[in-house]
Amino acid sequence: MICWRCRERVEGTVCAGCGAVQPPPRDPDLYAVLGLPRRFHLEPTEIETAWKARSRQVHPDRHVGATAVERRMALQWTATLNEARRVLGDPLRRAAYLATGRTAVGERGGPPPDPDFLDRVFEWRSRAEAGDPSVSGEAAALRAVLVDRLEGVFRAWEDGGGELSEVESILARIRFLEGFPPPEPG
Amino acid sequence: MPYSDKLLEHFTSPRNIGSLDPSDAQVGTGLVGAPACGDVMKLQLRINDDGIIEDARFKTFGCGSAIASSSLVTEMVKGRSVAEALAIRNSEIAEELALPPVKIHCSVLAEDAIKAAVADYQRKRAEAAAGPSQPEEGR
Repeated sequence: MICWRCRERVEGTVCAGCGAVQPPPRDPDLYAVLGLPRRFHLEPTEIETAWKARSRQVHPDRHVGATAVERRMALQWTATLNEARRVLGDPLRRAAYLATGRTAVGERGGPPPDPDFLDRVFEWRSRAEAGDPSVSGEAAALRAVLVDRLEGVFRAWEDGGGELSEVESILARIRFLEGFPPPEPG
Repeated sequence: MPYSDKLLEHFTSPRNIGSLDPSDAQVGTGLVGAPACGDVMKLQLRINDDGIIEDARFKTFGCGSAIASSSLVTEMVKGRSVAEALAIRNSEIAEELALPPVKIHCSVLAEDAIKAAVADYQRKRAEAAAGPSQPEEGR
């Protein structure tokens, strides 16, 4: 990008040369927004550090004397940075974003789970409702297996040898295992 | 988003909750799940030899909209023919309960449950019809 004010090359929120707030991207790549590498395996501190540094650059206090347009762009940057932190800061949201490019679960939510898996979930829900305390542990154990599988898929992908086609179905199965004992109506 | 009175009524006092004997030849069982939210819904239909749905039971683990959708479906299908039940569209369910847009998938799940229950019943019937050609148990 070229800075709209001083015509120097610019990257990120604010021009390093003249300090002008840059227009935020219309359809942002959330990794680029935070200046992070496109990986699943990220340290929470990497995300926090990047978010903090960039949020500081567009803080209203720093742009008191700026034009109304610039101040509005600074505000839009804040919203975009917060969205990037929200999505990339959560491993499951981050996985879905890498696999689908979306920040929310789609209407379909992935392929339908196989009947055996559904049978098992239904049985566990029934037992949990009946007050069987052992179910939560069983569900948590299967969830841990699925999270392991997810990490394996991404490790292979990061090493340049893997597909992400399995990610949506793993995430869907993880959703079936959330909220033991049964969630409140919502 | 406020929920409709009809939805709240089906959620707070669901109709036909429970189960039918899944081994009964007249009973079709449909178990479906929504990958988007993790809700699971079991719908069972007892279908007589004339193809009329005599009874329906459900059990749903999920949000209020999913529970209300499946409760409504049990009321809708009772007394109807299998063909009529299969013709029920999720849009009818969503409209009846005034589901908000983010809960439309609950009505899709309920429609899928009808189809799955009927498919299970028809599979049982087909197996029973093919029965004589197979070796019988205990012979």
